[in-house]
Amino acid sequence: MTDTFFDERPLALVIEDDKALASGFAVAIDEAGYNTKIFNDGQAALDSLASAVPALVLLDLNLPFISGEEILRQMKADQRFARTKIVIVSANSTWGSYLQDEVTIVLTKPVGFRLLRDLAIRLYS
Amino acid sequence: MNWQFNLVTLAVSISALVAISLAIYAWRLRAAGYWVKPFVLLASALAIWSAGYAVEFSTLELSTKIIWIKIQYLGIVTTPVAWFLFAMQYSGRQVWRERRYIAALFVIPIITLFFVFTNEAYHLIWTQFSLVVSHSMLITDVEYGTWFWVHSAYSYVLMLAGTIILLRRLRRFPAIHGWQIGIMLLAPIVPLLGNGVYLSGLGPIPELDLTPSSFVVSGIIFAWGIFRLHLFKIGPVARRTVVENMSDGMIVLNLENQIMDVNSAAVTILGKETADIMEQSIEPLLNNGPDLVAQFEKPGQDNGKIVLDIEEGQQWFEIQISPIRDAIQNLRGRVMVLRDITERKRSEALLAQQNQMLQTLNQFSQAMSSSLDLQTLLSTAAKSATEAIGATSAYINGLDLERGTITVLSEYFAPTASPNERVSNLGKIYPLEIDFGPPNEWRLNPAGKYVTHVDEVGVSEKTRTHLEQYDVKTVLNIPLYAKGKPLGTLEVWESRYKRVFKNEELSLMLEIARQIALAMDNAYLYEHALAVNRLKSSILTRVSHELRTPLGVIKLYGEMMQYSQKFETLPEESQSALGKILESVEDLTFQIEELLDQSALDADTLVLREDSFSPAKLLEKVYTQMNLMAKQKGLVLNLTMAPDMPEIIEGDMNRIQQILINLVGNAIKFTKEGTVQIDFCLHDNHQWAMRVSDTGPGISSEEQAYIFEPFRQGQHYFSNARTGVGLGLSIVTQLVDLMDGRITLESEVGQGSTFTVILPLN
Repeated sequence: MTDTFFDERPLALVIEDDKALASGFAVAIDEAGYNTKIFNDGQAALDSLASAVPALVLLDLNLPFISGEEILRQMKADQRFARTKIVIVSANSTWGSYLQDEVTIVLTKPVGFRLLRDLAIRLYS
Repeated sequence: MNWQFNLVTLAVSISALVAISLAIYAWRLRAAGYWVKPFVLLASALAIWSAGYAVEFSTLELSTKIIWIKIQYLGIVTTPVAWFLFAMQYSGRQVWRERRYIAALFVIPIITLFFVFTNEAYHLIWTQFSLVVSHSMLITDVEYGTWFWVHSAYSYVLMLAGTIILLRRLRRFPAIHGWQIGIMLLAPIVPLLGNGVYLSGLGPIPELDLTPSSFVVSGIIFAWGIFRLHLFKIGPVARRTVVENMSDGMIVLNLENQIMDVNSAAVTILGKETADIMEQSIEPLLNNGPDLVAQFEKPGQDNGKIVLDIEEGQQWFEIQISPIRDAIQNLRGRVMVLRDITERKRSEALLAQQNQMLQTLNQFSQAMSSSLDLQTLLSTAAKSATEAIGATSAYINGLDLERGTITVLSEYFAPTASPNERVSNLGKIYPLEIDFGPPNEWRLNPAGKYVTHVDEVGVSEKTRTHLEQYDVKTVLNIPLYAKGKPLGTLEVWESRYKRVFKNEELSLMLEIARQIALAMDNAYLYEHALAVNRLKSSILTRVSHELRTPLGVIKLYGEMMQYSQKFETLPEESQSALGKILESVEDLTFQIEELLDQSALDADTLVLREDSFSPAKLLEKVYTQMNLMAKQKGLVLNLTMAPDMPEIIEGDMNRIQQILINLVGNAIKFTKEGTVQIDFCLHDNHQWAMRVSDTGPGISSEEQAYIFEPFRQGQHYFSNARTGVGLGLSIVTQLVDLMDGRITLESEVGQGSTFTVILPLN
């Protein structure tokens, strides 16, 4: 990934505990034109969100230490993220569907490369 | 020997013949009653007397006449004794067999006979014989000696005593027999009169003895009594014997409803001495109102039932009152028959009680098998147990052997329960004071029995205080045991009085307890099964979710190899292989979806979203998703929507879409050529319909019967299915059910199939 400090591209966070999946998601979002950062646990993601306001967050719900739901709750409560697009990627379609009104879109695993890349392009604004 | 014959001779002879005939006839009927034998004796005595007189009267020599006079005395002395014995026997006094009694009666007659045949020596009967001519007849005239008067006095006493005894019988007997007995009484009265006339010398011919002649009348009366009235055959004593010995009480009432006669059974029923009830009014004696007789004599109601309170408990009688009428239909009195039906009543009551119990048990069993919800079952059981034996309250307690406690799981209070008793114990936990050993060693209280009375010796102070707080007098405590495992207790309380439970009641409660235990056991098993099922579903869900992550990796990197700029264009073989891998990922994903849906449906955790959606948008989404698949098979996917369809419909669009995609997917899969048609229309004012038709092979009626079941696929319809584990249509059906809709299938082999899903608009 390129140096973020000088990067003009919009920031995207991939918050997913499975490393293989996280890297794959990052490739797709990267190709859609984002500056992508990967977090494998909730706490690291929250630390980062304290200082940065991403354009897109790809959020897994089932995370160690701090759940995706908690991250979502905190982001929804923070005006800084009013324009941030949040995409939930969940293994549990029921759980995900409960949150579908809170977020931009809910994807159920397995998520395809092309679908994710095209979605990220669409959400690029 | 010279003879004289005239009308008197004839009359005396006929009288003798009648008396002889009577004696013979009666002798042949001697088995009819105890009184027949004295009657035979009487008739024989009269026969000897009148025959002797006939001969005496017919002869002309004085010495011959004297011999026949003496022979007559054999009959003359016997007649009063026989008459007296007949009267005694006839009125029910058994004297005939008492030989000393009879011997005593014959003392004077035998002395008389002795003096008759020794008259020449002592002249105690006759002092003088002479012949007189009177009315052209030669008649013996005699002067009587001292003993004759003794004999006469004795004879009259016996004749009178007998007559009085019979008269008393007349008064005691129902009217219908009274006049017959009256006629019978005429028989001895007539000769008595004749004899009186002769002895007093007031007759037309003073020397002529009218006594034997008047026996003609007497004989005729007896003959009439025997032949016309059959008195010997169905004599009053026979009736009397029956009436005395019958178990029913018989009471004869006069017109004032006073008791005129009772049999011994009636005396027992009334519980008083005969003397105390004779001529008493019947109604107060039966503890009944003055209209008792009128009440039971109403036409058509002659079989009434009355209850008598007799010292220990009630006694039931069936009462029958029949009018007594005389020959000209005048009401003379009534005869009342009391039949003791207490036993019958008790049996009836017992039977009714047993029926009631059986019914209770039956209803209880049905209630116990109608639900698997433990709380419902226990509430029903507590109520049934209380009502089954009419107790005041009941509790069902659950046992926790490890903690050594029982918990009140359910309680019921009858309307008769006292206010203190109604204090709820539900959920309270008590230390277990019962030794739950093996089933056959149940020790429910220190005395080792089911029933405890608060006031009995051996009840601990603690228990007593506890129970008295709820006003309880008696507790029935039955262990609940199923398959040898103690589950709890059934406790039934009685707060109104110290209660002794009958054996039937205990048996009933034991049976109820047995069924409660079984029902509890079943409910526990069911709860356990549900828990296992939920666990299974949750494991399945977790496993499915865990599978999604590696599947996600395969799909993501597979597609990355196909589409990412980082990868060079793959050779054709690699593309094809990668395509197959990704296709399998899709299949696997679909199957996991199905399994997840099914397990959610099984565990009742599938929840529908309350939402609204546009049917047009739904149709569009399904078309977008399915059209490519149809095109690849060379099929046409047609859509129509009725113009009257509402723009917005309430429902969970994702799930409705799932249903539709499932049906369309199947249709495309099994149709080789032609079209797959989707129609949306209104079914009625409250429902709308989605119809998916195809030009496929159709589904046979046998397959139609089971294709909606889980894990089943129609042989033809699904024969080449690559995806799905056979849950698709089953899930569709269950989802439609969940939406309060219904699904129908019309299909014939070779004619295509049409699935119609009808869903409520609201």
